[in-house]
Amino acid sequence: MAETHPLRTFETAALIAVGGFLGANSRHALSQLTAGLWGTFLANVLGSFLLGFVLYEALGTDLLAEETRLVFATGFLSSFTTYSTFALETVQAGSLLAALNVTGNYAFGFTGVVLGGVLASRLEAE
Amino acid sequence: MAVPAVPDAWLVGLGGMAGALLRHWTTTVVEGERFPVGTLTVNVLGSFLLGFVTFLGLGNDALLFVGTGLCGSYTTFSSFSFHTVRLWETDERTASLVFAVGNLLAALAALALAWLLSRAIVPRCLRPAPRPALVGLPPSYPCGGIPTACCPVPCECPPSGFVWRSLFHMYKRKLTIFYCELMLNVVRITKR
Repeated sequence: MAETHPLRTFETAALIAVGGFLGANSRHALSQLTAGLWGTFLANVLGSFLLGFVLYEALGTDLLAEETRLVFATGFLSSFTTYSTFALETVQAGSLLAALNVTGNYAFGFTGVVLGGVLASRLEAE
Repeated sequence: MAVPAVPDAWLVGLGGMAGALLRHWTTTVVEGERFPVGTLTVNVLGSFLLGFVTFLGLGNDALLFVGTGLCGSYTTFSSFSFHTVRLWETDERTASLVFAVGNLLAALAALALAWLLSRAIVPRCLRPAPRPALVGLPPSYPCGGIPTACCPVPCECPPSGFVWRSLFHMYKRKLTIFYCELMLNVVRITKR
């Protein structure tokens, strides 16, 4: 009942919108500060680490509120990281750089999630 | 009539806002029980649109709003890596590998499709030249800037898309000028 209330839907949308606005701008700022493929790479790795932490925290201790996850995970972090720019930059790069880009983003992104999970379980043990 | 410039942060931010909301909506509509179909869908659709607007050679403002903002936020790498790791952990190893490789292959296929489509609808003189470096460089046109010169002299700007090629033999000059002017207006509108 409370989940389907129009005000609830509006609240969810507003939280995601705010996160998306900030996430996209942070990614853009990072790509302005760095050269070449580094901006997207750094955003993806950092974002994966933080999302790993937030979502594993939800599976474990679950101290953070649902609203926090909406604004930070669904809104900010998912907008901060990007697959489309990663794919386009891979296509536009030379073959060696393209292979490095895919391997780097994948390897460090997955490691980031795992490390985020480790950090979350450390906090749970506290 | 000078239109005041919209700050980059608003273009990127508003695009990002729309992208995040659309992603949330897409992932609630397309939801997989055991396989993260929602994330795969947004990544493929977003890659297609980003490729399309990039290959069309739209102006800087349009690229910031649609490309960096909308498509950048609509697609997500963090949820993608989380789902991959999660599938691997829960002993869905095959699904995890299929998901990781599938996202890449499907996104690349979407970009290829976007490229073909952009070639079909944009005449050669209006296409951005292939970029030597990565992102951030303004697209350059073979005719030099906005190719006003290509409109009165259609022979300097032969249309080459496959949709166009068959029409060309029928209408030749007249349609070329019309089409060229139309595309010029699109470029003018989308350029700051």
